[in-house]
Amino acid sequence: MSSNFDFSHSPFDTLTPAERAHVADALDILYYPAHSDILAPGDEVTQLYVVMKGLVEERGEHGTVFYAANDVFDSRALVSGTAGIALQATEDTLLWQIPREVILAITRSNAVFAAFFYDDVARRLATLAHKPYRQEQAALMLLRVSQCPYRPPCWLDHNATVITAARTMQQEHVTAVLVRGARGTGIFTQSDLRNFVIDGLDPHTEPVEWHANYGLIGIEDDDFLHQAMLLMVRHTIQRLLVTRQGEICGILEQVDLLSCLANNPHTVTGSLERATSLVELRAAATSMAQLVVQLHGNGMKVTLIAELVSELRQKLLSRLFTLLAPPGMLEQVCLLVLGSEGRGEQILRTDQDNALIVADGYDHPQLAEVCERFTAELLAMGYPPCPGGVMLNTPQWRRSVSDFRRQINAWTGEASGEQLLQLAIWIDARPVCGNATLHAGLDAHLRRWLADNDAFLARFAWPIEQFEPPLSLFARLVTAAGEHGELLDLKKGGIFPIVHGIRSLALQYKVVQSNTYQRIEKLRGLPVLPDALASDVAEALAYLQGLQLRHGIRLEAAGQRADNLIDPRTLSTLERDLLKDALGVVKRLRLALRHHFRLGAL
Amino acid sequence: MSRLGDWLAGWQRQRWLARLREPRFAGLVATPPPGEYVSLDCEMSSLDPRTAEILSIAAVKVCGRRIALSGHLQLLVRPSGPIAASSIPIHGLRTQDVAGGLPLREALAQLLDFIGPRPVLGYYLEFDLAVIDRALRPWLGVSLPNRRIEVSALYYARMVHAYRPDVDLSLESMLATLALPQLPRHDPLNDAVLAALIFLKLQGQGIPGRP
Repeated sequence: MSSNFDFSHSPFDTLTPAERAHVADALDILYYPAHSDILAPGDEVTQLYVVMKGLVEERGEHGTVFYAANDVFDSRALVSGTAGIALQATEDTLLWQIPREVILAITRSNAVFAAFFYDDVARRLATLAHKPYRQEQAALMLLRVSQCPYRPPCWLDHNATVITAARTMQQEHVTAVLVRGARGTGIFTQSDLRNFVIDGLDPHTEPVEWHANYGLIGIEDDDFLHQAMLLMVRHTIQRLLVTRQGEICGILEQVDLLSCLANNPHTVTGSLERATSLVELRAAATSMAQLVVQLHGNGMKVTLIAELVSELRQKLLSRLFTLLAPPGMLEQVCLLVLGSEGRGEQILRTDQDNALIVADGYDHPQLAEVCERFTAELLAMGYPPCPGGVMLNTPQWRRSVSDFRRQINAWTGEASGEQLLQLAIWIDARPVCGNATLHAGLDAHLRRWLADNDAFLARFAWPIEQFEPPLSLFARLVTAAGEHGELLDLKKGGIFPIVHGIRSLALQYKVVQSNTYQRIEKLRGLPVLPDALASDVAEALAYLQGLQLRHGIRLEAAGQRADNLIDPRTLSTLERDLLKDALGVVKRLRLALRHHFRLGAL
Repeated sequence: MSRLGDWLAGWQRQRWLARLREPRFAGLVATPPPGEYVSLDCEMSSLDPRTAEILSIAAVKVCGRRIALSGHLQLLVRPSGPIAASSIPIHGLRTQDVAGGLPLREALAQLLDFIGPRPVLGYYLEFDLAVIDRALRPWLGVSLPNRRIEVSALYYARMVHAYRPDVDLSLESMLATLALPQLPRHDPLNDAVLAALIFLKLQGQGIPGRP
């Protein structure tokens, strides 16, 4: 029959027409009067249940959860075959039931559908969370270098002259040639040729190897294209050598890469770097914001967007400070980004978190003014001021090296809540512009002091105890009855405990990375963070940050300021399910850390 | 059931069997499996039970709290005469649509096998069964012997009240009052499912816990 079953809801929206027909043919309807039991722990589960009409209540360890029309419940019991939790009809309820073997057969052929039933939180989150809004473009970011039409290399002899190089470029229609010279493998590009002409040398006699570049940057052909893009952005270059097991097999040009990727972070980088005035820089900042929305809409994973955007933003800040600073100032100061910006996890323009280290004994009459203008310009570009005042225009965050050293001693000495949070922000600092050795010295000072100071580490980790993961909120997800206006704070309830917990571990185990995902990779395998937990935590964080990003994009599109407050009722069942998974991971991490740092004893 | 009731039922069964011309349908008067019913709906060529011909039949079993939709029966029937033009917009079946349908007796044989001894339920069942019986009698010598449950009568009995003697028995009104989903109408299978839903809901309090 033409089914009355609604296939537009997750996970059934991933089924092919043939798979839908299988499900439609196997459907039965069940009726449960109000307050009757549907499943009890230990019951054999031979069916998948989908609510047709009514309300079903689950009393589990995370409190009570409600399922309404089109919700699938107890999907994981289907895999195990035994119910783990009690389910009861809250009101008169009609259920669709689909036999277990029909569902299991489909999971074998449809991977995305199957992910819905995974027991492994990390796999579930990774497969399902990153569901693009426009599916057809999703594959783009997962392209590998080998799938991009890069060009085979054009080799020249070590005794070739520049004129030979120019002719080869013309005949082969390439913009660069490779040369094996006495200094190894070099690249000679059109811009090298241009510089050569300007220098007025004789192309018929000059060997090309004298004018080639030898600091080559390459990428393996089974690496992802986005890595190629990141390398180009980071090094401001137009081409990469493509290698296969270390052997050079081609040249990947920016144009080739761009023709592969509809999105175009390069134009943004280009305009950031070419900007010689504040007006141009502002335009570039605007296009950066649009880029985030576009990449997200194209289904790019949030961690990749964050990686790309933080590269771009650091270039923006660096460029802005360089434009504002009078000559000679850059060598004497170091511009830092702090907090989420320092970790490379801030995607939307939520606030400014920055500081300036000034070399001891250096002073410049314009220093304060430069900092004020820096803050004001960022404000004009849409970066709201930091509510906590963590900005280099305040004297507290613009200090000399010895001043900051005293400040670090104060932070670590007192260990009050406020001091600890400032220290936490500082620990995530990343230098973006100026003299980075100023920061390195202070960082070494801090880490020397912290070495083996376990009592301090426990106090430092303690704030993760303050916010209980808001799992009980789900109890109020009753379809219509949930008009309490209760909002879920993604940051306090999920993101902060992960970030701060991992930060505390990073401090203890002397992990120098500031990015949370990189820290997790370094910490992976320690007794406190076994492999499975590490994967779960990373995926949970990515999911929460993804929700945060989407929520922020929605608010910004509506002309409001991005915040972290989500109304769980606006989420789909799948999103709610995954959110529950993610918060469950947060809870597990908190338990592990409580034990590790003996927080219960504080 | 009282002993007199038992005796009467037994006597009726014997009489029915004696009249039945096709022994293969004797199972219709066997003891029905407990908690099982068949919900039935037909589309007809007109609204006059004396002349209407069956165009399509849908039936679905109800077992306890479950409507066994996956094992439903749905048949198209080729009528011997023309379809009343006024009925076509309602059921959407034109002469060419049912041209490939089964001969009436073949369809009815499948329906009887499907129903077995189970009680039959439906919405305005009387009309459907009158047409079915009209076809059965000259062929088998008997009418359908099964217990008949009219869901609108169950609904009326539940809703009628000294101060509210008029009960709206339209399907829309019954579904809305009982908070049941409104499936697209005049698809006989949907109509059979809706009748089954009304039946289950009205029986609701009588159904024990988990299956």
